[in-house]
Amino acid sequence: MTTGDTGAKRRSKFFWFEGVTEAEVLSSLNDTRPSRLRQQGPRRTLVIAMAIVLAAMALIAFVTETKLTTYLEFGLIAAALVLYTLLRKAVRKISDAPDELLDERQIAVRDAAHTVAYRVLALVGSVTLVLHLVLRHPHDVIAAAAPADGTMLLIGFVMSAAFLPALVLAWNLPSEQPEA
Amino acid sequence: MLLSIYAIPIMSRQKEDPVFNRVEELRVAKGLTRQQLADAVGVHYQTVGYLERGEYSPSLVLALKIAAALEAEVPELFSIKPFKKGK
Repeated sequence: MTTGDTGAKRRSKFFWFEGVTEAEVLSSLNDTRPSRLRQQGPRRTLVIAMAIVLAAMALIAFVTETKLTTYLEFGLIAAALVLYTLLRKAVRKISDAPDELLDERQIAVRDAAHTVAYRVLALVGSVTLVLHLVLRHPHDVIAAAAPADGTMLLIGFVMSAAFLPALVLAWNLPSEQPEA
Repeated sequence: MLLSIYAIPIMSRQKEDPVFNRVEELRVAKGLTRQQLADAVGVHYQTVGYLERGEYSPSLVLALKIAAALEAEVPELFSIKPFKKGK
């Protein structure tokens, strides 16, 4: 089984497409220590927190650029990265792992999460794009509220694309039980 | 046309017919831990847990591997009808 101990001497393989190493995935899969993060309640709290951060990243693009918003942007990006790290731990990095490191259930839940994530991303991306186009219309009375540049929107979109499978998985997975 | 894509419920999960099993009962009777059974059939120990709680239905290949590991027949382990108590 791929989740078994690979031994310290073996060199960890890097999966370019998934952006993970074999060692980090196996270490997460083989972790038998109980963790509150792997219970459904705390996991769903993380998902809600991440959704709020991503929504804030999209909305802040429509706020006039000031020193405060710049600090806020960095804060939101940092918060998103911290939450994503916790979410990956909560789902044992299954959302990013390649087939060869997972068993049939893990592959099934990962693929189901990617399907839902794609639909959510398509919906959110389309709505955001439409809003952006409407707000940028030159004759529109709310044109002044249009984002000066789409940097934060782009960062938010890229982060959403990367994080959504983990978010969906974290939301849907039942709580884990002790090993014995 | 595009809107019809969004008519699909975003978080829908198709309800499957339940598969009842006696994996935990036979595993405990053989004195195996979830980890030992998981190693024997090549899956993660949490998968054995989900399977025992009826939260995951295994593929035919996995069902056959579990039956072999527990020295039982597949119908003794899995059924689409609830098992009678004490059987």
